[in-house]
Amino acid sequence: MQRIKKAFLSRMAYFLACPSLLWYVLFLLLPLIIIVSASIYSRGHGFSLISYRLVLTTAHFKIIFRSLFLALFNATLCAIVAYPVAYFIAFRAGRWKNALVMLLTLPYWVNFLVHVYAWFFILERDGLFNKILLQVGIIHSPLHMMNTLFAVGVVMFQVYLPFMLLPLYVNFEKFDRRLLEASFDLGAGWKQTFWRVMMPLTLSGAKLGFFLVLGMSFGDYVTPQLMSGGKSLFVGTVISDYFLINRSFSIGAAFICLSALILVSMMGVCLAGFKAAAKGART
Amino acid sequence: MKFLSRLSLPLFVLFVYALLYLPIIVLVVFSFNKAPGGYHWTGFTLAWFAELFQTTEIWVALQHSLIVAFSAMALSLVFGIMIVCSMKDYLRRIAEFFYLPILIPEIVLAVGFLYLFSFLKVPFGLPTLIVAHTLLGLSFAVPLLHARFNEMDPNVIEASLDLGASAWRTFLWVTLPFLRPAIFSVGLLVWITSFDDFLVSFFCAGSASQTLPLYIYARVHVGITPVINALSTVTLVVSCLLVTIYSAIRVKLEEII
Amino acid sequence: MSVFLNRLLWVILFVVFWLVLITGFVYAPYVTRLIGQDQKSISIFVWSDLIDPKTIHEFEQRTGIKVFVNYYEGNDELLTKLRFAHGVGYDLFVPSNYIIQNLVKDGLIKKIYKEKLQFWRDIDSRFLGFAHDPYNEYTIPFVWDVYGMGVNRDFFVGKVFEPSWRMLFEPPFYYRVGMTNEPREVVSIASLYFYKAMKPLDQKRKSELARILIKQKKFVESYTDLNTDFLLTSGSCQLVLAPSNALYRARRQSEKVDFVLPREGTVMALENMVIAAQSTKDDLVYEFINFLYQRESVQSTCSRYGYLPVLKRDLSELSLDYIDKNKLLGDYFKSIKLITPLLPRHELFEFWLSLKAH
Repeated sequence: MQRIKKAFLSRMAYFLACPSLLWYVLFLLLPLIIIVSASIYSRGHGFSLISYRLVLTTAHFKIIFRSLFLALFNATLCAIVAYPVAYFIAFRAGRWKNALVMLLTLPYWVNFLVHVYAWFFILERDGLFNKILLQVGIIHSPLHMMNTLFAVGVVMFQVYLPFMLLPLYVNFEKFDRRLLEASFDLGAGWKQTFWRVMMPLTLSGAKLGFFLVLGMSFGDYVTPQLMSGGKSLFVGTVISDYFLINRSFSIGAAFICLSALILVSMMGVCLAGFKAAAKGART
Repeated sequence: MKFLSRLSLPLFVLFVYALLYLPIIVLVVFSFNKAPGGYHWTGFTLAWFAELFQTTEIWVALQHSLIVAFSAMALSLVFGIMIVCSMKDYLRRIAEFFYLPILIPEIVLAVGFLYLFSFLKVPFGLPTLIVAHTLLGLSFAVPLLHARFNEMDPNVIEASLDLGASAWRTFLWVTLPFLRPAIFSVGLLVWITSFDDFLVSFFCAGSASQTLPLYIYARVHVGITPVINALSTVTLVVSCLLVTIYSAIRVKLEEII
Repeated sequence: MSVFLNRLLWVILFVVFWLVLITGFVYAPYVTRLIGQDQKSISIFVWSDLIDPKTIHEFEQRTGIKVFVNYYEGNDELLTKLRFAHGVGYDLFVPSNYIIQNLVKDGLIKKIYKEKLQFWRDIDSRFLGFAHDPYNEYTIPFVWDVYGMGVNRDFFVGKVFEPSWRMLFEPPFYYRVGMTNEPREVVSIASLYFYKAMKPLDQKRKSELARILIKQKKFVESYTDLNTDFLLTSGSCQLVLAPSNALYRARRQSEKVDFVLPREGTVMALENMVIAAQSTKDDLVYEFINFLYQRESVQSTCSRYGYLPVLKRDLSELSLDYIDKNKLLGDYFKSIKLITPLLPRHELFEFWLSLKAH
């Protein structure tokens, strides 16, 4: 009995690691395998690549690249905006640091969906923006903002900005402020300091935030559905339609695989870009 | 001139925060608006709040959301701590891969779950939701806890064991307090992700397990009534209260300890 | 070697242990369902704007039967979710007429017992015996709505306006239009207008319609099922294709909108109550259905959400400020057709997808 107990305790590490690993295998790996095999196997045709042939059309590629472009644009914009803000919170905010970080997360207690729907109030023809712009006199007739790509972009930017800010801020927190001071003391201007000192050291946080925003914007379902007026298609809405409305699982699965492939390739390109930037900064 | 450039950064940050809060402010303001669904201010009223408190469906949905969020948070934290403490060295290189579930577009995960559960004839309901959200939670928990765990000086554990404390006591009194900030932020992140989650819930919730986001989605489809605005205002007030209470408690705790 | 095997054995033991735990957790509802078999509750799956929560609350209080409400926003969503759940979990749902055949074919609904329905004789015969269920073996008509054009009255003052689908389908327009996002509705109406018939479309007519809709797309503000009324009242569109309940909502927000029934005729959607094949709580369900058809319940549905009733008693008491009831229920009713799928499902989906992708 004692021997069994001893044996168990010495293997305890495996016991503790099991649930998390099992979770990933059962609930991440298995569904992905099912999707990939569904794309290859369809009810009428057995094992064939016919779904892929049906999916490789210009229409589908347009949809994927539209989503990709929007996601890239959104991620880049978030990165550009997030850097100064994260820097400010980490280094210049003093007493207000914790409050500002808390304020970042507070909007998410209010539901994400309600956020998006609130933008109706702001972007509509007689909504907040138009009212203000008309009052001030910048425009003479209401701008057409709702149900356009612009609306989708604006809402996506606003919703995903904190996802870029938080990892970046965490990274800045670990950053040694004296390095910046030293850089300035040694005579480097802002531009040099940024590229040579700040950027390489905050790269891990920037990478995480960038890919997070990229992935989430690419496959977003709610924002394009509510904001684009149904006139153009995005990856998230098309996937949902294929499964929910058309019930053509094989084609839907093939479409998922295709978009995933393109997304991962793009992520690979971005990763290489990050690596090159880091290397360039070092020279 | 220098003053202006010194001011430009804070102003920029203010502008960004204003943009982040714009929809919320609009929501809160219009929750007091008299007209249903209009975009014009027609008068102040508290009627929508009254209706909110009378709608039992919202409270049922909220109850389900809370159950799922707390369960997912607890499970991901417990499993996360378990694997991080036991597999520290093995995780060093592969911890980043645990981020995969949140890097994949959520719709793919949702569809995958739908397929999996349907194929295995698993009944859709609260357990399936909890399971799905725990996966999302683990994808935050494992990398972040591991990062924090790595920062700990290994000598501290050795010292504690040398001083005669058992492994369990060492874990409780040395490791766990050190991990506390990460535990707190991971818990918060997972809770919010689960509470807010729409897509996975849309596909994986069953009958008798409607969560708050699903209820709101259904309402948005019907006709935009300010009851949703009232709900958001209440949520905001509650979360502000919670944050304030937590900050106050933390100050007190730090004074005591 | 034996050390490795030893370790492997332990790992397998651990994995099995956790697997059993996880499986038990995930399949728990089966167990609770078996235990709680005599629990007084039903689970319904309905449109988000169909049943007044107050009605449900009253039913719960009066009978002590708990009602779990779940929502769907489209008939396809209903069918898909039911299929994935293998028909388990819901007792009652309210699909539109054009999805009934699919539900019957999949074995998801069971036959009804008209003797148990206290109001059966009071249903207006116009709403019985349609092609999707000729003897009403499976469906109990509940409410209906009719499609027409929502119009911004002020905008068209002094301009030429015909009560005809031409205003929607034959661009160019000097106004923006809103469309619904359900292809069956759009195709039915277009077919009714252009071909004066509701027959399945052949390839030639299909490509013709595609061209027409693509030409129209330039003037479309939004394809939406969720805020058609809002498109009109906010001034984004001056003309929308809308069901009557959307116009009802719009009218409550703004007096300046009108609902126009085009002279060429129009389509209607009929929402039916059906009982899930796997339901074990038939008695409770019938009790609920009978409750829903009582005068107060029907009135609250119709007055809150703008649907039109099917019982003779309610039809006679109906008074609408945005439709001429006599016209609607009189001769005009003959020119109202049920929405029918005129293309096979996959073709319809591809048709709609290529329109959006254009």
